[in-house]
Amino acid sequence: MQRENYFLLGSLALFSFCLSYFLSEVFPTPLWWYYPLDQHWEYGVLTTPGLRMGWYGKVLFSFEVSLAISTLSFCLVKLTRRQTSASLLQGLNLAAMSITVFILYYFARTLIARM
Amino acid sequence: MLQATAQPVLFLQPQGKLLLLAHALMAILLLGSMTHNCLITLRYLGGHFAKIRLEKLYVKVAFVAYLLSFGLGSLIYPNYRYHVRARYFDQTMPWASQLFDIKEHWTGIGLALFIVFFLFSLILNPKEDRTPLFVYVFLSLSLTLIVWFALISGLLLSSYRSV
Repeated sequence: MQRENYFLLGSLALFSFCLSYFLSEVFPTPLWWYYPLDQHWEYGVLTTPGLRMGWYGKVLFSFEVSLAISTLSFCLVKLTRRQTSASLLQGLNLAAMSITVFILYYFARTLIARM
Repeated sequence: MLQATAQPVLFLQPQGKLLLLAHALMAILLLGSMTHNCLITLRYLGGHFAKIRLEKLYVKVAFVAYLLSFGLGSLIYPNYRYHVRARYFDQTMPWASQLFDIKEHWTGIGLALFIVFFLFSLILNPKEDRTPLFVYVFLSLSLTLIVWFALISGLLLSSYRSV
């Protein structure tokens, strides 16, 4: 596989991670929740009330989505053996950078507003 | 007569201080290596490619430091969540809880950025790969910003109350 394709997959993985991380924040998404006082895990959207932590599940969920999309794209690129166009790579790079800036800004702005 | 209230024992609570110290040491190593890396990658944009091997060494050091720091932070987190955040910050300093949440989300996103950055560093030739070079520099700059923010906010929060 050409090196350009690896760069393409990297940018796609980054884009899909940031997008899924953001979407799991704004839409109800089934995640793994950790209950530190009981030291147990629960999976779902609405779980048992109490002190719980969703960050582990959110990171895991975003990695799963990113890995799934990257693996599918890798197989597609392998099967079709198409050469990556420069404009596609540039567009995806720009999308990955834009969503990264957006998501960092989104969390900073939302949480600063709650201070 | 006063009755002692039963305190829950959380995951790795007895090792909390030791883990926090190791977490901070890894963060300092990470900050140094990432800052040096960023200073070199920024020069790539101006066409200066004299320190490619050194820059890639910084990426390897920083990647290991990030993984260790992230892992140690994740292990301390349940202890922090109850003993520091729920019992202290949420009651008296809500801004500190929000500041930690920004750190938490940024470092979670930073992990994905770092994995991509590390993989790019393995295959990127800064002299030839002009299109991905811009993303590479962007990742270096973003990660440096995240690491600086995480270290400063972590030190600030620990100065108020730690595990």
